[in-house]
Amino acid sequence: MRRRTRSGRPRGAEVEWRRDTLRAYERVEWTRAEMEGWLIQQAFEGMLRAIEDGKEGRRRATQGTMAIAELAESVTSRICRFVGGGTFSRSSPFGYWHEDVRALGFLRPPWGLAFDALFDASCASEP
Amino acid sequence: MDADAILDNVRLVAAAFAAERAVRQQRRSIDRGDFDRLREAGFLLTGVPIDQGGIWESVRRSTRPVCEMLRTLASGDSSVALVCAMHPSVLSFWLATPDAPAAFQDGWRAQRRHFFETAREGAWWGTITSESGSGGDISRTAATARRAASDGPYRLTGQKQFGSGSGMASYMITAAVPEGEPAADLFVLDMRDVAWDGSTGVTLVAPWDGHGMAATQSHAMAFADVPVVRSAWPGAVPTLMGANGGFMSATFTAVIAGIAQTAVETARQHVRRRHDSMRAYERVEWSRAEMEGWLIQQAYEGILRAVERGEDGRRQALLGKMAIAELAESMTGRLCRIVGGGTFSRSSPFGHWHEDVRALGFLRPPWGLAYDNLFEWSASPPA
Repeated sequence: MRRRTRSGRPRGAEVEWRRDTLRAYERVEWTRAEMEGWLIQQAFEGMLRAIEDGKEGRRRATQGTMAIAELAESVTSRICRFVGGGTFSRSSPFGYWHEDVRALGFLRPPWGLAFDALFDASCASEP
Repeated sequence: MDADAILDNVRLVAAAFAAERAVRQQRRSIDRGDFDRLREAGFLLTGVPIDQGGIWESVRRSTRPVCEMLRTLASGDSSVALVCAMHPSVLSFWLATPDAPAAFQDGWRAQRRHFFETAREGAWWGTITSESGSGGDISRTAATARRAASDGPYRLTGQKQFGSGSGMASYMITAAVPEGEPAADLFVLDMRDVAWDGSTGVTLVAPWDGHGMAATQSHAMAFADVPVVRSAWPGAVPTLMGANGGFMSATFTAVIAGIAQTAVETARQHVRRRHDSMRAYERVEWSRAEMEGWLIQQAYEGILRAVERGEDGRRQALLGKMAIAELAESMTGRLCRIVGGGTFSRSSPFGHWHEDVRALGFLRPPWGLAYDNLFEWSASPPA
């Protein structure tokens, strides 16, 4: 069953329902959010391809993990600002999703270790 | 000559260009000899269908090979690659649409055959469509096309800018509103041996002075009663752009993806020499730059795959183009900060690359129009 807003509209319909009254900032934030969402899918596909090809799979997977961690935080934050202050409510799913995706950057390897590992892997990679 | 053979030839040309990078990045004008080499390499055949001796098959089958040529070429010379990208992009309006409605079919087929033949015989195609204040929106053109007699030739009057390849392209497409009609249409200018002093109706208004893509001769021109040929399928601009299916965005993006890749590879040599003495900030910036460089390549691959699937290709190509435009600016900025203040020097390649990649967001459709399109297509993707 699709989750619904307090007004009873399906979540996915927010943009369509409000499209004629959206302010410039909201239109741009939504477009950026879609762009980042699209990038996340490309990064995820890229990780899978690198692992499947057996070419620097570990390094590319870490790179993809960190990139997606940052993009996912950004995209869910944009969506919260776009949908409105109601996303602070614990009855809205968006705030939960924003907190949920923040987990990725702390999952193994967490931020600091991941960046050190990426730097070392870069220096050790084939010229 | 098939696409693989042309790509091999382009690799050799690009490698030769890369060896001359320091000199090339100082240029502010086109060297026709570069384009003669690329014609001999077979690049012009990207604008010719297979049944006329070229390599074009379809948007779905030809986007990847053409983009790979452009990406490769960009590793050697950004400006040459961008001018080259215009050739197949412009001709794709005809390449991607073999058939027109019955009323225009004969004329359309004859025009296609003629245009492709010019490319096969050695003509470069380009575009000079943009106008100041139009925001890249063809429908907002203030240029007009009138004709003295109902069946006479059209004549173009208007101000145009960003004509990449001016002086090298034999033919350039443009947009204008035909007299008595409500909407803009496509026209073709024959720019061969045309003087720019106003004597033929063409006046060079402002030579290109871009911070980046410095040697593209993307001049601004004024046209006064200049003969033009109208698209043989009148009023079909939206249809032709739709059939293009993201090809144009993909070609421009391929150039920037190539520059970005070369910039990262070049910076890596710097990092390898210094990695034991790099400060925390430099280490993190480098890791972020590599991450963005990797994302650019994944987004580029995502564009190609979307176009090849033929599903939502136009929207996804634009999503990718805009994402890569932002990533490439960010990434080359980071590289400059890592490598150091020397990148401000015009003798360093990094500052040039940073300015070159900034071009992508301004290429058709430019920032504002692209964001508007993406927002509109979010609810109803283009066919």
